[in-house]
Amino acid sequence: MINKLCTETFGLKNPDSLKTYLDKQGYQAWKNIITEQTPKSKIIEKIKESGLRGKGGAGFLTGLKWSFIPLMDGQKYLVCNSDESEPGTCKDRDILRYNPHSIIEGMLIASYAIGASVAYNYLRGEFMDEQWKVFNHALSEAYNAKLIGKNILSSNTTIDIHALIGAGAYIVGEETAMLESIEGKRGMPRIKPPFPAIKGLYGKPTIINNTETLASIPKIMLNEPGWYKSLGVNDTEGMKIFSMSGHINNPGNFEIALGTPFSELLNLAGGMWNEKNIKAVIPGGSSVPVVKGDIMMQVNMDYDSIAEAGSMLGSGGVIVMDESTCMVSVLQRISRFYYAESCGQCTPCREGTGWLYKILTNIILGKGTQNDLHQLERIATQIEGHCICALGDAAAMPVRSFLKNFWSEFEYYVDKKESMVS
Amino acid sequence: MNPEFIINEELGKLISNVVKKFPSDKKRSAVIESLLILQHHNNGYVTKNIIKALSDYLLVSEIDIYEVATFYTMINIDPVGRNVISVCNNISCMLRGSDEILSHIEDKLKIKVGESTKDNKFYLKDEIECLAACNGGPMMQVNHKNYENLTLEKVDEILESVNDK
Amino acid sequence: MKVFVNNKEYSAEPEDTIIELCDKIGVHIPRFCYHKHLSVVASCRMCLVDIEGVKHSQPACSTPLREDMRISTKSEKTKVAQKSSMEFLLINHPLDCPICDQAGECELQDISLEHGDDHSRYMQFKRVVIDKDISPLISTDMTRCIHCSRCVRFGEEISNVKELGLLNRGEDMKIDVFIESSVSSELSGNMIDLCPVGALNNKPYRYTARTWDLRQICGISPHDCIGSNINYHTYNNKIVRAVPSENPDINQTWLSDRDRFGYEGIYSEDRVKKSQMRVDGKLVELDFESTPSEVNNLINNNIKKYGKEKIGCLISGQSTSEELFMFQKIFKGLGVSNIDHRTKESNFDYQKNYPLMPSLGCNLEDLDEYENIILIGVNIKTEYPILSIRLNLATKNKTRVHSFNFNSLDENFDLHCKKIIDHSNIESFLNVNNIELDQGKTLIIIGPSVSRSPNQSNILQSISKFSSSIDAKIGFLTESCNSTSGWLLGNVPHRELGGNQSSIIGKNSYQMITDKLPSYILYNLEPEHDFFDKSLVESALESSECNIFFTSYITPMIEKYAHIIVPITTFAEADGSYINIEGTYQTFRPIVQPSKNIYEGWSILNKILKLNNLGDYSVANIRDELKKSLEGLDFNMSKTDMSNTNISPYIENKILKESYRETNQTDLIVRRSESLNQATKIKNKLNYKNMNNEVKKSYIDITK
Repeated sequence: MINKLCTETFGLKNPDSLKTYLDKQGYQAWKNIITEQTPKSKIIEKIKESGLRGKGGAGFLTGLKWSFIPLMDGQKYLVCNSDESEPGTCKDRDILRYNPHSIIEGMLIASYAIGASVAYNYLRGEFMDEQWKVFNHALSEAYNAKLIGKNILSSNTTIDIHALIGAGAYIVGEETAMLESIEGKRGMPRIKPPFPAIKGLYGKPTIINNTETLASIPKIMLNEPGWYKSLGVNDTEGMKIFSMSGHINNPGNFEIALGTPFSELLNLAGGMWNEKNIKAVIPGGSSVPVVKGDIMMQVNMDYDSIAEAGSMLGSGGVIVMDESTCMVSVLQRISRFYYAESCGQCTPCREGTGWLYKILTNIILGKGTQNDLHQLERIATQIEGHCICALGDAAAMPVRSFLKNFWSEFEYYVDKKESMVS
Repeated sequence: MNPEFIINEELGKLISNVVKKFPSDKKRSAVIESLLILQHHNNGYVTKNIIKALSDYLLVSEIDIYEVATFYTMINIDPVGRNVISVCNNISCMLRGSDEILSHIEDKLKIKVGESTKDNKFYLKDEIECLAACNGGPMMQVNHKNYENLTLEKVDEILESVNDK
Repeated sequence: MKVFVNNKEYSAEPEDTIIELCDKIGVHIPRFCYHKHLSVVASCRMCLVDIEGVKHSQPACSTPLREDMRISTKSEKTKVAQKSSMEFLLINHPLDCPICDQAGECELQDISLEHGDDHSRYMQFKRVVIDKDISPLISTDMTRCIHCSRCVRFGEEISNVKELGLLNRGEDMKIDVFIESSVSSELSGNMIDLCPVGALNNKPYRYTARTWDLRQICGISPHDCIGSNINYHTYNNKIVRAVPSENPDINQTWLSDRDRFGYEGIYSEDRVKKSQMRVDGKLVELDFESTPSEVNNLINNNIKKYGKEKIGCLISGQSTSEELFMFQKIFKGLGVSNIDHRTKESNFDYQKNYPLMPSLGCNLEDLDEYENIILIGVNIKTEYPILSIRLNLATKNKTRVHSFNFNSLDENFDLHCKKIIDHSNIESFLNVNNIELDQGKTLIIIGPSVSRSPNQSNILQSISKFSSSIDAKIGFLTESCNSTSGWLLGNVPHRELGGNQSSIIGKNSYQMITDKLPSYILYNLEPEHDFFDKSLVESALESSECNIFFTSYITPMIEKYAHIIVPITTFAEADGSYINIEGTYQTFRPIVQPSKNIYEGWSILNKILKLNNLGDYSVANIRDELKKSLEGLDFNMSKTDMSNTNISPYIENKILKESYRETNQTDLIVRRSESLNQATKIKNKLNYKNMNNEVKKSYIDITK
C-alpha cells in the first residue's frame, strides 16, 4: 500500500476544498487536540518521537526545534516557509494548491504546541496567481468552519493564521531572512545566535517550519506513535516528497518512503528520456553537490545514504541529467543564480559569487584558462563556511563538486573552447 | 513631472487589509504586499510619489520603503511593459530547452531579456530565480500565470492570446 | 570567566564578544563593519578568528565568549580567513588611493597592508557606481564603498534620521539616498568619520591637503553648551577640517555638523583686520601698539563725562572664560555695574532667585536614568544636535520625553508627547493632568526659548512650582556655549565673581538698551543678530555718543555706529576655556596663530586692566583664580527654587517670533560658515517642498 502524508488529496476532485479534506479525516487530529486539550509537551514529545525532520533542506529534527521555544507566557509566532525557490524543487507549490488544508491543520497544531497565537504562511511572490488564491480561500473556509480564529471549536484556544506574499527573493527562504521580510525589510539573514526560537519575529520566540513539514504533522498526530517512523525503508524514518525534474520521461512530485532506492524513484518518474544514459544527478536542489549517475543508481533516497555518496538530500529536488548534458553550462547557470540571489550583506558571498560566475562565463565564451579552474576551486573554498547564512555555501558546493566529478570535461572546454558533449 | 499620487479609498482598503495581519505597531510589515498592490494599480511599477504616499500611509520612512523596493525583483522602480513575461531558465527548465523558448520570445518580440516592447505591451523580465514548476519545464509565467511544458508553438499561441489590458 | 587568547589566559566579562575582549586587552583584530557604538552586523567578515574546536573561523564581533574558549588571532586558519575576506573586499575596490582623500587614514589601506596580498588575482570587470550630489558637506565616491553599512546604521540607530539606505542586492548593492533626496541631518558629518574607506568624504575639505601633512590640535566646540571635543586639522596655519575627539562623557565619538564645519566662519571676508577709530565721522586705521591706550582713554573719559551708571557693558556668552573674567574685572573694577551677557533676553525679574549658574542638573551620560524628561522651550535637534543622540538612546532605553515649545517642534527622537503651547498660558498648562508621567525620576530641561520669552520670569516661576509639585529636578540648556561662565564670572548686573550678590545692582541688558545710554561697550557681539530686538539696539547705538566694539567681524551696524573697533581673536586663535552645561571646565590652546594686527581677547583686556592698575594676569593666573571660584559649586541643581519671585507685568513683544533658531544661525561664527549656509539652504528647500500648503503659507525663509 502506498502511504500518503501530504499528497493524499492530490488527484481528487476539488482537492483544495475543505470538504475533500474533511472526507480524508482532515482536521481530525486538530479536533482531538482541541477537545482533549492535549498538553503541549505531549505533542512536542510525539513529534520528537516520530523522528520527523525538516523537509525544507536542512533536515533538522522538527520536534527538537519546537522544544527550543521558551515555556514562559508571552507572544510567540509560528511561520510556515512557503517561499519555495530552491532550483529543482516544486513540491510545496503542489501542497499549497492541492492540499492547503493539511498545511493549515499542521500550522494550527504547531502553533498550539509552541504556544503561538498568530501564525504566518509566507508564500513566494511568484505564487500570487494560483497558490496564493487557493491558500487564502482555504483559510477563509477554515475560518468559517471555526477551525481557526477566536475560541476555536468553542474552546478557549485562539489562533490566527495569515497568508503573506513575497516579492521575488530566493534568500527569503532562509528562515531569519524570512523574518526580516515579514517585518517589512530587505530579506537579509540575521546573525545567529540568537536563534529565532529565542528571538525571532519582532524579537519574539518564533518557530519556522517548511510547508511540507507542517503538512506532515496532522497525519503523524492522528496515527499511533511509531507509525511515521515505520514508514521508512529499513532503518530510515518516514517519507519525503521528491520533485523529479530534468531529463526524465515523467517529471513530477513523488511522495515515497525514505530509503527507497534512487533507481526505483527514477522508474516512478518514467526513467531516462530518449533512452539515454544517466550522467549525473543533483539529489537535493541545486545547492547540493552533484553526484555521478552510476553512483547515484546505487544510492537509497535517505539522508545517510546520500551523504555517503558525497551529497545531501536537501529539499528533495532531484535534477537528473543525461549523457548529452554539458556540465560547464549547467554549473554556469547554477552560479548565475546564486550570483543574482546573493543578498549582498556579507563580503565573501557578495563578491565571491560574482567572481565565480564571471570566470565560468569566460570559460563558456571560450576565454577560460587552466588557471581559471584552480581559481574557481580556490574561490569556492574561500567562500565556504565564511558567510552569515548558507547561501555562500550553496554557491560554493556545486562549484567544488562539479569540478571534482567532471574535471576533465572542464579541462576539455578550456582547451578546445567548446563543450565535450556538443 | 509625476503628479502626486494619492492612495484612494479602494487602495486604502486593500492596504488596510494587509496592515490588519500584523500587530498594530508593526505597520512596516505591510510594505511588501502594499508595494505589490500599488504597483499593480500603476501599470506594473512604482514611482517616487507612490513610495512617498505609502510612506505617509504606513508611517515608514521613504528610504526604508525604497530599500525594500530595490531588493525584491518583482517590484519595478522603472516603467515596464503592461504584460510581464517571465521565462524560467534555471537548471531544471534549461535541461528541457528553456533557452530555446527564451530566444524564440526574444526574436518574436524583437527585444532582449530585461526589456519592454516598443508598444509597451510586453515586458520580458530577466527571470533568474527558479519559478518552482520544475516538473513542468520548460515553463513561463505571463502576468504571474503559469504555462508549463512549453513548445515554441504553444508560446506563440499564449502570447497571441494575451489581451491588452 | 576564563578564556585564552593566543594561548594566554585572560579573565573576561561573560557578556562580551571576542572583539570587545580583544580591544580591552590590546590584541588587534581587523574590522570594517564593527563599531563600538553601532549594532553588530558581522557582514564584512574581516574579523574572522580561529576558535579551537570550531570548524570554520568565526566573526569576533558577533561571537560571544565561552568559558575556556581558546581563540587564536594569529593562527594560519585566522590568517587565511582574513586574507580571503580582504581579497574579496578589494576585487571591486578601485584602488585609486593616489587621488583619494582618505589615503593615509584609510582603514582599508591599513588593513590590506597588514592582511592583504600584494597582487590581485581578479581579472574581470570591476563594479562602478555612478555618484550623485547628496550633500554640500559630504562628497561621495561610491565605487570605493565596501558595504560595511556603518553609515546606514548610524542613521537608523544614532541620529535616528535615516537618509542613506542599502539599495539593490548582491554585487549591485549600493548605498544611496531616496530618489531625488539628499542628506541633510544636523549630524550627517559623522558618516564621513564612520566610513572606513573614501566613499563618504568631507566635501569642503576635498583635495585640500594630504592627511599626513596635517597637524592636529584639540579644541572645544564654541557653538553650544555641550562642549564637544574637536580635533582641528591645520595645514599652513589654517584650519582645513575638524573631526571629533573622543570624549566618552561628552560627545563620545560624534560631532554635530555645526561643530564640524563651523570653523569656516573664522575665514569670513568680514573679519576685522586692523583697529579702527572714528575721526571726523570716518573710520581710520589705528596702529597696533596704541590701540589699548586709545581704548582705555575712551572708557575713562566716558566714565568721567557721563558717570559710571551711564556706561553699558555687554559681552557675548560665546566669549571664553578668560575673556569673561577679564571683562568684568575691568568694568567692575572701574565701578561700572551695568554688565550683562544675556543679550537675547528681555525679562529679568527672575534673576534674584536664579541659581548661581545654569546647569543641566545631571551628567550627559546620566540622562537615560530618568524615567521622564520634560523639555520646555527647546528644539534639541536643531539647537543642540549632539544632545539628540543621548536623548535618542535614552528614549530607546526607558525614558519618556515630553516636549513643549512655543514656536516649532521637530525632533529626531521619539517623543512621548509634544505640543506647541502659548508661552503666556504655561502656568495653567503645567499640571499633571496634561503630562502623562511614568513612575520614577523626572528632569525638566528649560531651553533658550524660555529665556527669550517676554515673560521668562513667570515661566520660570511656573516651572519651579510645577517641579516641586511632582518632585522633579530642573536643568537648563543655555543660549551660548559659555553662558554658565557668564553667570559664574560675574557678567550679570547683580552678582560678582563666583556668584556673590553685588552691593549695587546695575542695569540688565534690556534696561541698558531701552534706557539709551550715552556709551556702550560691546564685546564679541553682532548687533544685527545677537540681541532680543535689532531695531531697539540700532536706535540705542545711534543715539549713543560713544560705542566701543571688541569684535572679530565688521558688520554694517558696527561700521556705522562704532567709535572704535578693536579686532579680537576668535576661539580658534587664542588660549581659552569653556564651562559646559554639566559644569565640566575645559581648556584649549590656540589652534592657529592670529594674523598680526589682531589681539588675543584676554590679553588686550589685560592690557587695559594694567593701564588702570587693577591687576596683571597671565592665562595661568586667570585660570587659577577662576578655578578657585568654581570650587564646591552645586552643578547638580539640587536646591533650585525660583517660585518666590516678585514679578511685574510684562509687555508682549515680537521677540518670540524671531526666537526660533536655525541650527546654523546660532552664533556669529557659524552664521559665516559657507558650507553650513549651503546645507541650510538645501535643507530648507527640501523641507519647503515637503510641507503642506497650510504650513507653506506661514513659512518664513530664515536663510535670507
